Amino acid sequence: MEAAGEVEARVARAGALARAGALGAAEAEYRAALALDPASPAARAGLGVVLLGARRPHEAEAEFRHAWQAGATVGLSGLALCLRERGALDDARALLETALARGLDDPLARDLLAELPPAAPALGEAIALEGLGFSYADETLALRCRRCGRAWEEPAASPMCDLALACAGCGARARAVPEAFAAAAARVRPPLAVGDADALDRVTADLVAAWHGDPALAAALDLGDVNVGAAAEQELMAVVLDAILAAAPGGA
Amino acid sequence: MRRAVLVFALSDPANLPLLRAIARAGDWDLYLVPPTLIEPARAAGVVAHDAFALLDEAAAARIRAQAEGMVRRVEACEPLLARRFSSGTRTFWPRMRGPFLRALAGVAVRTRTMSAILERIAERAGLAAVVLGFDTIAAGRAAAATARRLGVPTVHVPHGVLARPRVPMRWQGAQVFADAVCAPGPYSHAGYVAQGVRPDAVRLTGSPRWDLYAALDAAARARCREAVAAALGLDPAAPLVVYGATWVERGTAHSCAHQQAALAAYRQVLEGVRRLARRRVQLVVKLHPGEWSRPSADGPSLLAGYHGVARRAGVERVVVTAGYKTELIAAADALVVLNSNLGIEGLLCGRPVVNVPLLPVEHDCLFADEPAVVALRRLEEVGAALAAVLDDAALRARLAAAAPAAVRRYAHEPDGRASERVAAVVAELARAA
Repeated sequence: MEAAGEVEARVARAGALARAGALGAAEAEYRAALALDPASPAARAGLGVVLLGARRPHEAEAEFRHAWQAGATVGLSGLALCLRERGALDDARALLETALARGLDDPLARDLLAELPPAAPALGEAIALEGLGFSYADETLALRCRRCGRAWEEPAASPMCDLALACAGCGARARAVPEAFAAAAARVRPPLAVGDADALDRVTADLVAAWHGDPALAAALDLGDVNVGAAAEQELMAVVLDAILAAAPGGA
Repeated sequence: MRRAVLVFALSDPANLPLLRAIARAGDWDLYLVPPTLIEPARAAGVVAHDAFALLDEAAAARIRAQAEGMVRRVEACEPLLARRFSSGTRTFWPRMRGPFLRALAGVAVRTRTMSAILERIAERAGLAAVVLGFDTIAAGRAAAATARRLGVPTVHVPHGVLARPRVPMRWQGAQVFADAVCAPGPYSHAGYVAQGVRPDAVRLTGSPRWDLYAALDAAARARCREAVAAALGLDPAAPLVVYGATWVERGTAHSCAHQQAALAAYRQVLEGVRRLARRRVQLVVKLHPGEWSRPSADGPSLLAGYHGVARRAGVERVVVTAGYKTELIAAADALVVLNSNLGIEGLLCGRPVVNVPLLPVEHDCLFADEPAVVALRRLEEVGAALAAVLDDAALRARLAAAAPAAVRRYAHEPDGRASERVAAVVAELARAA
């Protein structure tokens, strides 16, 4: 009971400090409360508010998530704000819609939901993926707007990204979620059978390992202690593979 | 002036004990590329320098000019390149020209920069040795070549075990460019020797990055669990499944299949966790640095991607993070990996490991027929495997009993002293040079 009382007192003191704008001191008080009771939803939510106020939304997100999962309603809107802050608008929308659909009566959650932009249509509706390129470092999406016909390319770091796409010509929008991206990629770059992939790897690897040995090219590539073409083999393997796959029947 | 060692691409904080051991082994200064660990190394008593600071703007401009000159010489050979990169009536050159020349330009800058750094250290202080986290990428190959010209020994310290690719390629490890390689364990040692590396150039040291696991006893693991639960908003009392995601390696024609399989594997993990909802199972996705740190990486959209797939799969309790690797491994009730070194780290921590095959199963992947690991043959088995690992105490006991033998296969002497053994190799080669 004594510890519970101290947690409560520290949370109250932290709240007062936060309201007075002393965010550093408030954070220290909340953390002291959490040292006594790591599960305290009030301390978690309060710490989340302080961290969000200090422009540290990534740290705040974990605190709000904890508070919300422990049943503190204030954790919901805090978590939604953090998600919005880092651009995870769909996650924020889904979180709020689910909670409100389950009967949560929270005006702040309703206001937040109303402020979020509507969900973009899926990849393939307004904007289509027509090709896929890759290098050692990145994927490149070849896109075409179905509304105005504009074609363009965009980089993507990972097929697991949730990408917001927009046509600079007419403003059409789309979202490429990983499932849609994988489906489109399977169409434009279908997986190869194991034996075919092995054979292609052998041919490509031989090409990448040999081209820079040509005397004329070796002279051009000579730079100090290395033949730059040889040093670049790892990076060029992806570039050459991409070109060969694109030239294959049905490749894009 | 004290002699120095150049350390390249060993910037994982888990390598800090290695840096300390190397510096102590010869009373050397360390020059680091990249400079990520300079401050922690200095705090640990190492005299550490940013190697890039050795090159002033004039040197950088000279290097850029050399790279541009090289690209112009290559462009003058375009008809030859177009012939080289063609097959019958198909020509690949038009599509690859841009990225090919950009890659060459970038590699020229990186290789010349690395060579210039080595030359500058050699002039200034005397270069005792070069330690390479990667010796197959461009800068690592340049470091090995320049060090050889300067008469300086090079030691490769791999980040993990030597993989067994279906088609061996020298830039994927089928050739060692350094003078010696420190094998993490017998599995890697056998692989290096089998592919033709001189046995005396393969030193069995263990992996320095895994040294920290030797100190992780049950009490330390419990502290890790509390710490990671507090940091990530998890319930320390509820089961924790850690999924080690991966990136799509674009250097093989299997990558189109990998891309599909990576998403499918994640969805299977989610389905397994969803089925265990009554157990309040929490899922943490540990992002791979190869996915998180790519040049155009966009953290928010990547996090949104993983969260969105989870939400659509009906799993709400999921955390996606690029941090807390050691704590997560130590705390996991089940660790799901994709043919990855993460699985070995799980074994070193005594955690139950489920291995999901991303490659064709006939491939000699890590953990094939490994009794210490729940080694799956098909993606669809993930859910049942997770349930078994969390619910079946007898299975966990069998895995734990088999773990020490598995660890010995992949990790030489997991006693926390691999850093010292690697430093001893560096010192021995430096003395002999």
